[in-house]
Amino acid sequence: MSRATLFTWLLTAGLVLLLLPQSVTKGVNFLFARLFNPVLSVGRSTGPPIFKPASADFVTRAEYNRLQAAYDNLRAALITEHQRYEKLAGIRSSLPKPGPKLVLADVMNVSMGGLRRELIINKGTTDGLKPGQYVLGGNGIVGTVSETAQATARVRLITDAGSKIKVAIWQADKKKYIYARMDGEGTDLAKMPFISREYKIRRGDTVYAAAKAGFLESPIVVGRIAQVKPDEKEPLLWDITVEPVQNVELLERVAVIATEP
Amino acid sequence: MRWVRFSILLLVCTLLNAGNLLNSISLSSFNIRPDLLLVLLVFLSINCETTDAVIASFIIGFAADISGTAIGPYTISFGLIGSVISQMHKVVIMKRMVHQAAAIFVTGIITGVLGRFLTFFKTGETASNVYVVVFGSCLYSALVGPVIWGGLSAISGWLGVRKQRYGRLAGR
Repeated sequence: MSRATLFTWLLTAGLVLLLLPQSVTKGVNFLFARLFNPVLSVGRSTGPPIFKPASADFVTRAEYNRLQAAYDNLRAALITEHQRYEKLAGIRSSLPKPGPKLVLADVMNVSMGGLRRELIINKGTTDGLKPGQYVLGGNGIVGTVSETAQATARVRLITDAGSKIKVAIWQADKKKYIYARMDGEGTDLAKMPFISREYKIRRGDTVYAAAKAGFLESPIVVGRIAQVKPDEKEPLLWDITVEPVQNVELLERVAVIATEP
Repeated sequence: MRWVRFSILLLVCTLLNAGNLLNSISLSSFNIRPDLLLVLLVFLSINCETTDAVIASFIIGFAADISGTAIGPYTISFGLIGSVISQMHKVVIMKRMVHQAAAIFVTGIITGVLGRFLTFFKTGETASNVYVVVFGSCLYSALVGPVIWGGLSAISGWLGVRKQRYGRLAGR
C-alpha cells in the first residue's frame, strides 16, 4: 500500500469518526474513564488536615460555609414557597406535590486540566440521569450533567469554560431576584456578564441557580460574588466575578436532582 | 517502529495527559499543563520513517480523542499535521532545542485551533478563554518539550525509531 493510499484511508477513518454522532461515540470516552479511573485519579487533591476548634463556640471555615449555604438555600426555598402560596392562596391542591428525586453518586474522577472542569460520576441513564440536570455537592449546585452513559455521567462544573447557567441574585430592597447568565471561566471562578449598573450588587452577595421548570423547583446556592467592578469595555455594566460555594476537588459524593418535568 | 512498545509509551502519555498528576506542575488559574501527546507527535513525525510517522500521528490523535470528550477532532488534526511534518523532516533539521521548541509551539497552535474547531463542529460546544488556554498550553509544551524530547531520544532505540542524522550524510 502506498503512502498516499494509507494516508487517504486513515483520513477517511478519521472523518467517519468525526461525522458519527456524539451519542454513538461518547461511549468510548466513558469506557476510557471507567477503565483507567484508578490511574487517572492519582494526584487528585485530598481533604485538608482536620482543624480542631478552640471551643464549641467556633466552627471551621468549611463548616461555616456549609451552614451559610444551607441557610441561603432555606431562605430561597422560603421565598419560593411564599410566592407559590400567594398565587395559590385559597386553592387546595388535590394531590401533594412530590419532591425532587435525588440520585446519590460517587465521584469517580475530577478533571481539572486546561479548559475542562468536570466530574465523572458512577450513575447514568439507568438511574434516570439526563443532560441538563443540576448536581448538588455539599449544600450548593456544583454543575450540570453534560453527558450520560448507561452507568456513568459527566458533570460539567459551573467553572468549566463551556458552562452557561441561568442564575439569580436576591435584591432584598426590591424583594425580587435579578436574573442573569453565569459563564464558567475555565479557572476556579465564573463571570456574570450583561448586568446593568443600576442594580445594587455587593461583594459577598449570594448567587443562586435560577429555578427551571423540570430541573429545579426553587433556587439553590451556586456561589458568592467575589468581585464587583465597572466593566472596562462597557461602563454601563458590571464586571462580576463569582466564587463557587463548594470546593469540588474535595468532593467524594454528589447528588443529582432528577426532577421529572 | 516497534508498535507494541509505541503503544505502551502512548498509553503512559495519554494517562498522564488525561489524569491529575500533571496538575502538580500546572501554571496559572487556568491549570495550563504541557501536552505530552503533542511533544510525542512532533518527535515521531520528525524522527520516524514517513509511513510509520503517518500511522503514529493518527493513532496519537485517536488517543487524544478517547481521553477527551469527542471522537474524531484530534484524530484528524494530529493525523493531518503529523503527516505534513513527516513529509518535511528530510529538509527541516531539529538538532537545536530552540528549533524543537518552535516546532512544538507551531504544531500545537495549529492542531489546537483545528481540534477546537472540529470539536465545535461535532458537539456544538463553545468555551470561554479557549485561545488563552491553547496558547498557554503550547507555550508550556514548547518550553518543556526539548527536555521530554531528550528523554524520547534516549529511548528511541527501544522504540525502534532510527535517530535522525544531520549534516551532509543525512538522507543517504
